[in-house]
Amino acid sequence: MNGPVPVLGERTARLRALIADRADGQGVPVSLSVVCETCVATVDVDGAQVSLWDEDGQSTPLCSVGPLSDRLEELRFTTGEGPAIEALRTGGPVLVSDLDDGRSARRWPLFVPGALDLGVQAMFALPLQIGAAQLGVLELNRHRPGPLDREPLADALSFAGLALQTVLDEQSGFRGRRVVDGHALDGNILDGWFSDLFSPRRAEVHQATGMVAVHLNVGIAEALARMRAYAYAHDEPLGRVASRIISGELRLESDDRDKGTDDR
Amino acid sequence: MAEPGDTATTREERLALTFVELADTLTDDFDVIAFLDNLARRAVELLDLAAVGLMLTDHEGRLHVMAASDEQARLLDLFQLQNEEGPCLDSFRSGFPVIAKDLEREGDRWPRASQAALANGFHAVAALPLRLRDQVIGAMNLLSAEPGRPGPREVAVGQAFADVATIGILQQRALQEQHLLAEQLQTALNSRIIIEQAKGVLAARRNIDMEAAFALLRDRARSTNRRLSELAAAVVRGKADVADLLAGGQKAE
Repeated sequence: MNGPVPVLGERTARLRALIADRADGQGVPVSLSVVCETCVATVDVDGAQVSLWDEDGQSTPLCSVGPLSDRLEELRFTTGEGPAIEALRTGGPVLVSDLDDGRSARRWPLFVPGALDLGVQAMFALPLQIGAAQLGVLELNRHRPGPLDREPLADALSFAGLALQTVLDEQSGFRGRRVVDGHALDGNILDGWFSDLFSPRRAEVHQATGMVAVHLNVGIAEALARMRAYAYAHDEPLGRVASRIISGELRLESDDRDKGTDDR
Repeated sequence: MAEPGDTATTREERLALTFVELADTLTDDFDVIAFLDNLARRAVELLDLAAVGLMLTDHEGRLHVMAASDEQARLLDLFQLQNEEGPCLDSFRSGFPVIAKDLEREGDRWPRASQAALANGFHAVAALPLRLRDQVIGAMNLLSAEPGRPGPREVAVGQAFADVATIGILQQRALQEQHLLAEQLQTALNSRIIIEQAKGVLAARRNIDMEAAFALLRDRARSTNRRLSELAAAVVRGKADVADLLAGGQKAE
């Protein structure tokens, strides 16, 4: 009962293993595509799509799994509305179990008829975000209406977290640099100490991210990427880097991507 | 806003006023973090406690501190520590109140958490579940400086605070669906992360500590009647309408 809760959530750890197995089975490195494929195979949906969003609201599709995901993305781009855009606006998941319930058509009058024409009945949009840093959306679609049950829903939320970390890793150029459990794995979402920005023990990381954004005069997502890059380059746990930034012992410098000024 | 205690004399009257005031804030455009922050402060005052913390679960079953009666880092750490062991975790998992009235004697139930609590001057703890029918979405932690508390009446009032917190988090909606619960919880959890990021921005801009940064945010949200999480997002994104907040103190590079 009182056993320690691992810093990495148990659900995330389990899903991460599924992702690694899938990548191994295909003989490919872990990538966002493998994350999306595993998500579709695990959660009760027919397709998944990840798109990145910049601060001006421009989106870039990054990865699609399933027959209709690309068409839905086009539809969203054309109509400028839908669950994904709503998820970024509200800062939380937008889970639509029945697009044909009338209410959805009132919410998104242009998007919903088009989605129904494609044969999509349910959509679940999960923001890839960490606080105010909104990087994109993982959007799941299904031909059949109906809610996600408790377990698949929790899995979907964990997949969104894993997709976010994969995006961050790919952006930071961490691909293929780590070996875990004897496998050369691409992307350090499979690296135990570095990942899981959503752990309850991460308050200092979020605070330090805010400080780095000011010090480097960059956006919050860029600040997070820079802090992770520093931690990675110095093989230092992110939490420790954050503590040192807050105490003033470490200050990341804008002219050097990962060196920083170290007062130690 | 009426201050409970201004005119009312009895504790019952103050309690009633507090609950009315809390219920009043449950409007459509309501701010979950500010609501919980306010609730924690009221609870500590009315129950005559040393500290109160409110924790919410994520989809992994982990507990995150959402609000506390004060935002000292040491206190937040103490609440967070109970994610590994402690009354909050036990109450969250069992759905029942968990009470240790004398940590010196009962501390071996949670060796690390008890030691940390005693080291910070807390001698009695209680954790009350935030329950929604068959589901527990978090826990409320009551800390007392002296042993022997809380008594049955305090536990009952504390549970009323915990129930109001649950209603607030779930925004009065009929939660027939898991979907709505997930939408609300995820949004609330992310709001707290935005606030942590904003604390960092203000700390760096004004050369102040995190506790002072939070106080600044809370005061500004109150005086401008703005949602705390929305204000925090404006701070993080450097929006023009918070320029004065960002400009104070140390100049930005």
